[in-house]
Amino acid sequence: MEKHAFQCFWSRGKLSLYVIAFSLFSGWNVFSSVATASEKATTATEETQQKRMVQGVIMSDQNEAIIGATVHVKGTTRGTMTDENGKFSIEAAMDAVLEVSYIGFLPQNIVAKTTTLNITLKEDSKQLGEILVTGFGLTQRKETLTGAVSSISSKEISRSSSSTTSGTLVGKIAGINSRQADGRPGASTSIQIRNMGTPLFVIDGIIQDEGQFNNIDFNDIESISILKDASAAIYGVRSANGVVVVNTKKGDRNTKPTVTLNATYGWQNLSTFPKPADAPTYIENYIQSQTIQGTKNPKYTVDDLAKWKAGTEKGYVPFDWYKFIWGTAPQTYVGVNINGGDDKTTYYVAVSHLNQDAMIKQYGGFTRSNIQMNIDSKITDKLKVGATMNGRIEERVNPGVPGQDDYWCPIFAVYRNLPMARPYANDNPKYPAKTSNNTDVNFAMLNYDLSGKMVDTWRVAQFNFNAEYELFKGLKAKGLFGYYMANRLMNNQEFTYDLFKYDEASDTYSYAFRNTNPWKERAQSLVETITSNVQLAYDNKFGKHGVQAVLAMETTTTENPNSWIHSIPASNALTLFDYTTLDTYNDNGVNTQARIGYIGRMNYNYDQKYLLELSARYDGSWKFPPTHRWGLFPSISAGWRITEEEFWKNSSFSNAFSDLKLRGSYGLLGDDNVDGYSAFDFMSGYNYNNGGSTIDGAYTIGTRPRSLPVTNLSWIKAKVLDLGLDVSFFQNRLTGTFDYFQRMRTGLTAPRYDVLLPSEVGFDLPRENLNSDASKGVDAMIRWSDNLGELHYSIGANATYARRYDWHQYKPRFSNSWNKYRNSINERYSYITWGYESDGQFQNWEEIADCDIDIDGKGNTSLRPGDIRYKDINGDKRINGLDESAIGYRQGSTPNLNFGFNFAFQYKTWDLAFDLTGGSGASWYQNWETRFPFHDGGNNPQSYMDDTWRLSDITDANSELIPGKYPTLLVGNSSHSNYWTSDFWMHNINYMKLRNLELGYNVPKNIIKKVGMTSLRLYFSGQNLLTFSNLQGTDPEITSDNGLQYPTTRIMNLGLILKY
Amino acid sequence: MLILGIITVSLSSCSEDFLNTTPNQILTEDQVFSDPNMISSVLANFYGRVNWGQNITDHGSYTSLDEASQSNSGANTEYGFGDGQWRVYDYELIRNINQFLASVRATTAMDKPLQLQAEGEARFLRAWTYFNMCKGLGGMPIVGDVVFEYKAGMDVTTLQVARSTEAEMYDYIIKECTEIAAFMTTTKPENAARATKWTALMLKARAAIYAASIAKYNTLNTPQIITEGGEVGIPASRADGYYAIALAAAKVVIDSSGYKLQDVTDPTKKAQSFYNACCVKDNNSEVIWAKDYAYPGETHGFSTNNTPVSVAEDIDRSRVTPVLNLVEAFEYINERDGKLKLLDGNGDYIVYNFAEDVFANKDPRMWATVIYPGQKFKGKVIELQAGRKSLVAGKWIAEIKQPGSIDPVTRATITSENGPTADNAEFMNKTGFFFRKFLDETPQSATRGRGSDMWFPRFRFSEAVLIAAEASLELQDEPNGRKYLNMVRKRAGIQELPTITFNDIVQENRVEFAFENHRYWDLKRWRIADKVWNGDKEADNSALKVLFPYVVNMPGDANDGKWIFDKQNDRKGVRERNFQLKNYYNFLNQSWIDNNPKLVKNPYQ
Repeated sequence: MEKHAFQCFWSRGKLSLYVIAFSLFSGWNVFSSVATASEKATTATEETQQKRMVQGVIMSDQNEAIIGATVHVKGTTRGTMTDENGKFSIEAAMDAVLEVSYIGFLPQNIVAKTTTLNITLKEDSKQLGEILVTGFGLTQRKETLTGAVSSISSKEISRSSSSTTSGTLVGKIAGINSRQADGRPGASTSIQIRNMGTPLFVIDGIIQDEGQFNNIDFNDIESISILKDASAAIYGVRSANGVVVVNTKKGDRNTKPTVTLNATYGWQNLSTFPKPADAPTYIENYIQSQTIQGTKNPKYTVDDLAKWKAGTEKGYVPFDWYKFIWGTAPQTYVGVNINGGDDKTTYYVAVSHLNQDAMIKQYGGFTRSNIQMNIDSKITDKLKVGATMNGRIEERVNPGVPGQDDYWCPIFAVYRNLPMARPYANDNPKYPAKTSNNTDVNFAMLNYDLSGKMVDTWRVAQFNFNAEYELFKGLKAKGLFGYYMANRLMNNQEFTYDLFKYDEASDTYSYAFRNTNPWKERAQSLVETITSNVQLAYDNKFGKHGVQAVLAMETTTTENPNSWIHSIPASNALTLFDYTTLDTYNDNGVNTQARIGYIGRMNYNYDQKYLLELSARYDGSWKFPPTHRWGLFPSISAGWRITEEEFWKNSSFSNAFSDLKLRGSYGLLGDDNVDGYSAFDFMSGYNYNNGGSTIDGAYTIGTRPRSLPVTNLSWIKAKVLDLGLDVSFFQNRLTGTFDYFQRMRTGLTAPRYDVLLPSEVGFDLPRENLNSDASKGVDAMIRWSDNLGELHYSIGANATYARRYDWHQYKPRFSNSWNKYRNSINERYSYITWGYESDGQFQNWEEIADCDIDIDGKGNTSLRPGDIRYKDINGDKRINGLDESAIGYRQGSTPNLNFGFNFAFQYKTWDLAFDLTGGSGASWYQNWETRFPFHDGGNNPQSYMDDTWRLSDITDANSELIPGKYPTLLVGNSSHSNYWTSDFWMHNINYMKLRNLELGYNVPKNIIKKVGMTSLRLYFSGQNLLTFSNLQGTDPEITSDNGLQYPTTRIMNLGLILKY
Repeated sequence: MLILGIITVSLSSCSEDFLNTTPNQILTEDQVFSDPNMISSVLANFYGRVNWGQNITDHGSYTSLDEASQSNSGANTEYGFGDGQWRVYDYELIRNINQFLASVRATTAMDKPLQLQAEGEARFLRAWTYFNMCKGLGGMPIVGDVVFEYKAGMDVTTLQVARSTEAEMYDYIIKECTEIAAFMTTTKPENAARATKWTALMLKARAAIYAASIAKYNTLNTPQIITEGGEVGIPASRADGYYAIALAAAKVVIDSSGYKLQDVTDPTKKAQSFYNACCVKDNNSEVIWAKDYAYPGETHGFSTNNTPVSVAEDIDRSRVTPVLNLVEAFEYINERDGKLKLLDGNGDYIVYNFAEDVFANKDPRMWATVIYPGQKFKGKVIELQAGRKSLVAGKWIAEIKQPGSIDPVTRATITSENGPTADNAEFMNKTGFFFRKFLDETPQSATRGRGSDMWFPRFRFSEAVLIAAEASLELQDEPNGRKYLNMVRKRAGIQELPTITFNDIVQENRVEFAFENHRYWDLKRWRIADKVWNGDKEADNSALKVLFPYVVNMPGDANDGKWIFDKQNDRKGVRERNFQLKNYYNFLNQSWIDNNPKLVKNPYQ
């Protein structure tokens, strides 16, 4: 539960009630001005009053003594700190104002009316976010920040049941677009900053890949900052898509060792998954199809239907594949950390283990063990050193499934096995049956015993060492050295397996199919990254002029040797590879990457009122031709805190504003991940291991001449503009941030195609940096926090709207206006989906007869009532490609709009928090199993088969028609005009989910003290508990267009957090 | 501060070194051409890039003609031919070969004969590339040995080469083959995988017979298909000259190559012998050039994808299966009309005791080409039974169940595991036949993990014989034409002909070279494709037909347990083969013409 920033009233005890009531009825400014006036009065009187000793104790609102809090008498130089019991004593005049502060808590001003004071400081989770990490190990206070940087603190991060870090960000922060396309164990949510593409991830100052970001234990994260604008330019040639900066937890200074145990046990089940049709529904539709198509040799009869409906006669007992395959699965997490430190050294050590089972029954899952160790020490007053180490072992295990994707098989099985098929021959669990022409989809066979095992393990360790030396006041030299090593070992063994049939007369089982494809593969990969980073940092104040400057240099090298081997083992029992059965060894090389950058940044502020930041990075990437390797990436940003201006302070409305800041930034960012260009394309020569052929009786590896060297190409340039406004009202009770942004990218590659090189020369023109695109949008966050009696509450909302445009294309040309309309991508929304516009369904035969537009390309001879009518856009009375128009948004990626609503309440020992998150502006195309009748001999969803145009008598083609949502299902009809790409099947998704919910109870101190604990929290949490969507039966986040994808999970957890 | 400065300066001075990383698999020209093994490696790359048209690595290509149909899931609704059907336009390969030629002629790493052989192979592959280009597009620019280069700002018109005439293109191919045949090896390469003198002569013969028949039949049948500049169409006057070249080249192969038709005298072994001639590498005396495969290293999925359902080894099976049209194209041993005898004069079923009886006395090559109901593959009988039928009140009623269903009482098959079925199920036969030619019997060759190393012949000796037959006939030498044609028929095991006509040439090529990437090009060069595949929705020549076997289920009846057959159109939705005049030549991409204004378009484009 979060607690927010209005303690100044809270601490005044009963006054707060009055304040709230007053504020509700009278508005804020009146009361605030009174408060300010009274403070001014007390300050003025301090020196004239007689001094005496004031003693007090400072406690947190969790009733813990606060050690090392500072107490300062306002208007004087006198100050002190609390001891280990939270006690202090200080000389102060009667009615002097004591300023009490401690990091992580809201500062308070106390009027020393008495000589003994009991002061309760309120923890301020927001305060922690006030110090923002803006990249490169640099920090800035939120007030003086000029870039668009969103930040999220540990408390908000940990309110998630996600198994990976990206999932924790969903809906909690402005500027993030997200979508979890696949919910399988260990899967992560894809996140993009303002839909700009995959961002760069930086953890504790070291550039990392997305996998490392997702799989550190997010409970070890102190804060995450999202650099959304030109403030990312400090990362130079890799910054164009924005940067995610993560800081892990450090130990707290001067605290006794605190042991925290965090454990949850959860139940996962399917959020949404389309259920397959049952046997009677399927057969009914099939018979109807036979009737309409006049099938001479029918496959099912009404007698069959009756038997399947009864479901009792042997051989006619239907089977529920959905239930057979999907179930409820546990997800557990246990984490322990120790945190502490004295005035020189701090430490944070954590270990944790996560276990997420698959919801597919007996299907393995995902486990991950993490450790994190952070130590900082002050060797001398001038020299500080630190070390960070984190490591993990993550493992994905499932049966060794034949074919391709291991999760596809069981999911596909729900549809490919008809409800008339039963998994075991004669229902004898010793004998899996052949249940479909697809012999790989009998789920009875998809288990460790029968189909082998796949184990995919990553072992990862990151070591960072840093040192900081103060050369003289304000100037520090810093060094950071990072070594990252990740090792992947994937072993997959797929057994040969047998499927059986049963002969009743002889009571024997015989083979129905014998798979003779034993498959054994191993993938090995090592990723090694060495980063070094040295910098000189200067920070000083000259009167009202504040100056910060940094000079730095960074180098990174990465190597990724990897290989893959395959063998055909002689027996399922053999677990090792041996040379004689090995038939493939792919050595994929070392893949060295090298980048180097020189960085400079300067911040200036005048009286914290006028803010300016200049930064530049001179960056080189190994990828490009030596003459085009280096780039300069400058940025500028500026801010104006209007609330600091005298004229503002003196104005009548100033009291409503706690803070108001205008800011803007502009910068050049780079991206060396260039489409159509690979590292070394600037070299000529020959490619070894490219193509080949069997000559002289054995396969001979080929060597191919390389194409023309690319010598005139470099990185993509992104010019990023951000205009923002930060406001807070009513003593920070209402805060908001609003940003408009645009990113113009130039240098997307294309060949210079107006140089008409005859195709017969045998090579293509080398690509050059010619095209551009643009992203524009807004993001905003607003939050209201307040107290209502003992109820603290906070309500927040955030939204990100970001849309991509294709911008200037290199000399576009079109043969005619239609061609331009249909194919131009010049200054137009990217990723438009084209198709026909449907115009309802034909309601009866007369409408079809009267239709003067050739809908189906066959003179409407193939149409029936219920079939889809298309709009003849160009009026030529025929439906063809010329009638296509824009019918949908981008498919398969993050939506244009993401939003979240965050609610948090705390009442005494109880707290409740939940997030509603959603998206809009993405399209999902209903296809395959969810679209084609009896797709490939398999099943369709129950909801689909139930709601079609149908015959009132399925055996009489001329019987009355009953309308439905979908056209009549006819076998083998998938090329019919009904199934052409149109907005009938295209869904523009709008959805909202109850993404997170947490209800907690903090056991009162007096109870837990007796057992030696300092705190104990019990909670229930859930994820994806509710989904509101315009898609029926299908998870709105999945991208697979058949709807058959492991959906996002619904999780319900019980958890506890225990501190010693 | 000082230390930091030193570090920074020293690091920045070696920044460039830092960024200069070494790629793993890029070699310099020197590295390649100083080592004979690497020169072979470049040739291997070229050999791997010339697999065009119908072939076993693209089983879908067999559904385009009248040989096979898509059996997996829904029907193939393609019916016409695309403007780019099997189009080859690979000037990148031509350039690569020219780069290779320049370097290999200069290398000192090899002895002269080996060097010449390498040059010969490269030039053969270049001629083969032009040949494949020409048979789809007509005459295209001939660039000779030039390796084009480009510098920004150069005058690109100097790079423009106009299309050659179709005749010039064939002349160039013939000339190249003639030149290289003079110095290439005569030794049979392992598994016919590399070019020799004999492959050069085979290509010469094939190019010449193509040129000859286009010269003759374009003028006769489709005189409108020409371009002004002769890029398409060859004057009729040149026909005889080309026929003579073809005949001469074919005769050299027939008489002096050492290759011969594989044959046995025992008529019961003819079928297996023909299968061996096409599909078995060991002791093969017939295949002159093939795309070879080897396990481990390079295998393909033809067997995996098309194996009969009941002997499948992995998930995949029965994706493409042959159609009845091809089966009926095979003659009976002593009867020219190969149609199956399914109904009697009254339109009633002819009843057979066993499924295979309806195929009795057919050309033994049919057995080697398709698996028909009741035949063995991998030692197992391949059942193909659509269902059971019974005559009720004068009407045949069918009983069809899920594939693999048996009668619970009699335990007789109702619908066999292999189908055929008429629905849209995946991995299920829909036509009544499976491939045999090019289907591999090696254990595990039908798995994804291993795949098949079955080769794909490009030149067989029998082609030389049939070219000689065709050329002789066209040169008014019917007796010699007949002699050559009957060599092939005799080897096949069917009656020899007393006289032959052009149609006999067409017929023999169809059955001899089924699935071998001949038929489409043959019908095109003879200019009869538009007449055979004329878009008729019912006729056997254009509409795909399938054979559904049923067992009579009438206990007590004399016919109980016997077989009857339905010949029917391939599934609803499949459209007829429809070859239009515009399909005789591929279209040129507009972009090629934009890039090179000297290119002219093809007819109907």
